[in-house]
Amino acid sequence: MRVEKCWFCSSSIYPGHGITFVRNDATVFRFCRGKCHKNFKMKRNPRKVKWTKAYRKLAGKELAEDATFEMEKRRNRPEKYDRELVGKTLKAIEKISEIRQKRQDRYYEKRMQKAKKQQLQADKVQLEKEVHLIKAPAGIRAEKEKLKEPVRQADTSKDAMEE
Amino acid sequence: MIPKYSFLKVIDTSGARVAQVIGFYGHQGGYASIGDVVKVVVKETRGEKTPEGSMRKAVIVEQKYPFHRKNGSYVQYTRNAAALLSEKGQPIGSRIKSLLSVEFVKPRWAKLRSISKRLF
Repeated sequence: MRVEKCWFCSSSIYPGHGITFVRNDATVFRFCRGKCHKNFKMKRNPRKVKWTKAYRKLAGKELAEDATFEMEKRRNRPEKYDRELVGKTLKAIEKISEIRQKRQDRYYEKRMQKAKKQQLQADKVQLEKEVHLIKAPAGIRAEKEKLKEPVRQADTSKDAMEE
Repeated sequence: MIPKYSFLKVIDTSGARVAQVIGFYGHQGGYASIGDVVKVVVKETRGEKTPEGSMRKAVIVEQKYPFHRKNGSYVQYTRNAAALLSEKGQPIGSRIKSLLSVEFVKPRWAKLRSISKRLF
């Protein structure tokens, strides 16, 4: 059993999912779901479709080059079964994916550092422009008082009716 | 899912180009799928090796309709294609221009595998 990568969006294809398409020139395309398959049939280039990993890596939104990616290459030569080797590999896989996740998170944080500043500036501009939408605290209190008055009046009228 | 009277592209070097399915071997009526042997009539040829109008056996090698594999995947090709066989069931051509699927791993198709590139 092998977990393949979708040709279009680069997500993992688990057994029982997706369609494999073999072209006349013997190239094999695997798709994880109908969405990717249909996009392929429309002849869309995954490097231009914003939600695919190909686009994100090309546009620098995600970590593209790293030593941890090199370790996940496809090796076509089957290794002779060795229990120790399998155990070590499993542990290594865990560790490597941890490291890879941390590096990706760091990359994202770095990319988003500028966003905080930008957000602050945008907030400032918005405050200056739309300050008329905000009510001053004194005004809010005055409104609350106004709301209470009719309720008091209604109570007194009720008492009068009961009597 | 190839019914009777459908056209198959012949993708080996037997000289024929297009063959029409006129019957099935191994089961009656209905449809043939990848790996099934069918009776065909050669409709178009290039060269003298297989004359037009001759009836031959053929094995279906590619199919547009997605066929199901036991591991849960579905595989489809761009065309319906076949390789011509002799009466004994051995391929006539010397080369197969296609990516054969793992359905041909059986010893019955050993000769077919030897004239193709690799199995997929």
